[in-house]
Amino acid sequence: MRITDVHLVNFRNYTDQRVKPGPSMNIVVGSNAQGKSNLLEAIYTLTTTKSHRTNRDTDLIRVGEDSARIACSIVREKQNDTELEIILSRTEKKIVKINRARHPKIADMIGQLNSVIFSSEDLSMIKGDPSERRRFLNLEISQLSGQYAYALGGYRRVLEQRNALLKTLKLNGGSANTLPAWDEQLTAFGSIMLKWRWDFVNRLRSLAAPIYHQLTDGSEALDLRYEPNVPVRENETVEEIAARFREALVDARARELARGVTVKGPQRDDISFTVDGLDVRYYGSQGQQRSAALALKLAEIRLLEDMVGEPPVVLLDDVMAELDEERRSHVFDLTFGKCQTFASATGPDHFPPDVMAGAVVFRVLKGEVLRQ
Amino acid sequence: MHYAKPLARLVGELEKLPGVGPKSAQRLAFHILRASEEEARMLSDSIIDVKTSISMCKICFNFTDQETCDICRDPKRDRSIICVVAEPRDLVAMEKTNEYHGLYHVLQGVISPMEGVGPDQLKIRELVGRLAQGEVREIILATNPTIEGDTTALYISRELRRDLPEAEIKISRIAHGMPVGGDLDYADQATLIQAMQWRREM
Ligand SMILES: [Zn+2]
Repeated sequence: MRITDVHLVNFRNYTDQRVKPGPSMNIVVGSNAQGKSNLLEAIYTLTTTKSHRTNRDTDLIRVGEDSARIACSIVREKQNDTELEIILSRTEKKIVKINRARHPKIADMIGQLNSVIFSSEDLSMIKGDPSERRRFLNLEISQLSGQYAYALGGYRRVLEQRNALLKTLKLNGGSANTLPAWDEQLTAFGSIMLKWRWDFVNRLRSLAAPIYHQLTDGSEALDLRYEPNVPVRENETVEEIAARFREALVDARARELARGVTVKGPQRDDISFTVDGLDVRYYGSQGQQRSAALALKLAEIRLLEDMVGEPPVVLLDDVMAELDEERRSHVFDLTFGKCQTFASATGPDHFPPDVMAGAVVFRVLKGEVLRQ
Repeated sequence: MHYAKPLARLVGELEKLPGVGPKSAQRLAFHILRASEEEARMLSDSIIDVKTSISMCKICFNFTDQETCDICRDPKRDRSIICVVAEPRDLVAMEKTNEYHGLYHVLQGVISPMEGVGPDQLKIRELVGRLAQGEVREIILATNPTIEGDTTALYISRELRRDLPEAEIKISRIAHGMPVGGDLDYADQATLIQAMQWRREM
């Protein structure tokens, strides 16, 4: 799958910009804060309808403007060419259009364009807070499943309400007789998240292990595992997971009332990464943590290719300078010539000659993109 | 912009209304200013009149200018069935369909701990009271299919089910197929989740 045309109107620091990328490697160079990352962010937003950098759509609209528009044309191997468009507004609901037809269901957009974004924050995902690893799960699975995206939105709202109730009960007392209804809601949405996360991490697990092996020249073995806060077992249905989740909430009732917050559920999940039996989240070297993060991202490219049937677009957001030469060459080995790639960097120095030779270079200056 | 004081006051009051921004408040104020005194008085009288004469129906909590509302007084209405809605405007929407001929019960809101609304702030106890009189055979829970509307419906069905066995009263939920508003953009994904929420009740 590849993008043949990108159009940004009042998106971040752009006013009206058209970009016609090349089919393979696109290198986007420029100093900081000129709009390199914003271009990659626009492509990612067309993938999931949401930015990876902010939850507030209004952040994406140019200062002083009421609305923004991002659009792209994509070419796919087995399907007709598609035009995607998102219109963001400060006052109205978000509008998505596929081939110029408005789709009232925003989820229809999911799955049209697949992309994997790799930014410098992703490199610190392994040693970072568990919330960063959950954010990774949410962003990636939302791209694969409209059902997951729906469940995530519902779960967040229920969790907010349920926590407000528990806090009130802790501070002011009162009847807890609405809790069972909130439990029903929490477990209905949460069990779908748990099921998807379990399947997703297990599929990534088998793909990431050989990549990590390669990255370390066969000297180390990586294993990653989903650590759900509510236990999930192999081949379990969402209904079975929901039943166990409900039991867990009942068991935790006294603790939740004493603390005034929800203590069970996917908002407390994590993923563990072990290298030769050692938990690299806490005990790994920086090199091991970076290699594990890289293996995870590269595994994701494979996973999307398996599930979608063709390679996704790869977005490398200022990540080249952060990788050493060997890791960089692994990234290019796995993507160059196969995935259409957009790589942002302050300069062209981090790209090997063979990659440069086949690349289209764009220079970004103050919200304007110039093809070199 | 400088208005004479009475005009500034009117603009200020109009701006407080929902959906009215500064620009439309200004437009409305000038419209009123240009209208005849009689027209202006009709508007102000009707505002005062609605505040002094409209109250809640003693039975269903719909708005009425009498003790009980038109629907509760209507002898042609089916008294064995009650449709439970959150707000009077939901009742109006339901009436427009012309498909429903039973009675209503207006909760006056939905459960929302973030806004400090629990069952005691809603007309739920009053609903239980109506059922205790024994005439009602069926309850339709028609709160909106938002997180809060669904939770309210779940709560009520659980409370009613505890006291009233299935043979005595039928409880159903209409939410399926209705547009999902608010922050849930993925309406068609709701089916599976609703099926789980209602697995015991239905
Ligand atoms: Zn009435």
